[in-house]
Amino acid sequence: MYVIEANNIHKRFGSFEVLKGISLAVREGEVVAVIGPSGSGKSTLLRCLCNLDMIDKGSIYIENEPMAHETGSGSVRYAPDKQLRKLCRKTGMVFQNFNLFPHRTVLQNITEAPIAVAKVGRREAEDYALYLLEKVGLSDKKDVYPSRLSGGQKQRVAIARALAMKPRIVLFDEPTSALDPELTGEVLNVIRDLARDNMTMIIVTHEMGFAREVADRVIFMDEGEIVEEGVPSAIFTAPRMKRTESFIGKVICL
Amino acid sequence: MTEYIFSILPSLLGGTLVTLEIFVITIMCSLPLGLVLAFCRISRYKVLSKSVGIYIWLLRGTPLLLQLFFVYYGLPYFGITLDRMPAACIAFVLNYAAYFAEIFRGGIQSIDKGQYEGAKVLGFTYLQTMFRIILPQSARRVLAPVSNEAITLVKDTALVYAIGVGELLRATKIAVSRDAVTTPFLVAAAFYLVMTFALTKLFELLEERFGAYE
Repeated sequence: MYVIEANNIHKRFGSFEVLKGISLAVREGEVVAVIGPSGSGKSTLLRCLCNLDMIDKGSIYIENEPMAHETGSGSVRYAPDKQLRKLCRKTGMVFQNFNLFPHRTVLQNITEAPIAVAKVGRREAEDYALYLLEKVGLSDKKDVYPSRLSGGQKQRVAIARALAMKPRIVLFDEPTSALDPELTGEVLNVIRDLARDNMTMIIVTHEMGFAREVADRVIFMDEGEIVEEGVPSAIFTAPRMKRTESFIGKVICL
Repeated sequence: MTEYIFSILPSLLGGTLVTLEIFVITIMCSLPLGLVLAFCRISRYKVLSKSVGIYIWLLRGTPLLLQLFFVYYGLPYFGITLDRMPAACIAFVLNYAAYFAEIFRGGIQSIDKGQYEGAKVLGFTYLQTMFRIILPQSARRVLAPVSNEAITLVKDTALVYAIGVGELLRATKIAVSRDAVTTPFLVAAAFYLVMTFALTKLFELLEERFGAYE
């Protein structure tokens, strides 16, 4: 069974087709890195997988349950609202800009959704939040507001917040792109730990070294298509496609 | 002099009570009504959003005094006759709700869309997102304009004098005409200043409290 499965998804913004038929299936425990030039549709792909953007064609299944599927007439039908929210809770999302709730403390940021959405008791939610904060190394920050944190700390809180809903898969949308270079390490370490714990993940990233090290599979996207995919060693050292080779060549020598 | 001031105090205080009554009723009713109107204004149902747009245009685009006259003198022609005080309160609530609606709309729309997305991927419903994430953050941003309106309202209550409600200014005017002195005007001014000063302080406290996270 795949944790998430997308078949031939298309997405257009106006007349611009961002995704031109992407198919992707992720097994439990698999870490998939998505790389490619900016504007290639990587972020849009993630946003479609967690229902922040709606697809125009194709289907998306989460643990075999349809989030969106194509009807006979070729249009896409999404699951009813309630079912959709239930399915989306199985996917955690970590944003480039963190999107923490500024009016809530670190602890409240993490417990807000478990209490309000998953209806977990406050005590239980807080205990689990404290456990997660320890995991990301921020136990001492539990009572401060996000404005007092560095970018790297914010992103670690955001990861803890996503994990608090016990997702089956976590999507990372360029988790270190908004960070100062010296702060990326602490965030990548947290993601590395998650990979070690067999968390299923899709990571859109520009950190090639990290992708190579942590991913089971690397997907190279360009102009809304998957150009090539394979194990990291193959993609990075022996790409089959010209476009992949030229992209890898450009980013590695940087 | 002091003696004279003391002699007019009871009637001026009586008028102040009426002023405060109009103020409190207007604030208590127009804030929630304004919030509802703001939600309608940003609704994706075009008919709803457009009608509220027209409502706001009408109520902000005509003088409050005219609206007051319309409710008190005009509505009887449509078979609705109201006492002075209810007429005054209705006109004020409808008028202030229009201003608050625009303030709230601005506050809600000033929140980064990342906040909606962050809430959505965690499974919050639209209402949960609004009440737990968006509105608490908007509250801080709308406090300053709301405090402006509240202070304006204290002074606007004097308009109901025009339909004969016995508020502070009317009590003052009666004393002035009766005693042929201008002292009551100064006393009334002091009363208004005390009320607006108290409001200013109250809003400063609120801003501190709502802004604690910044």
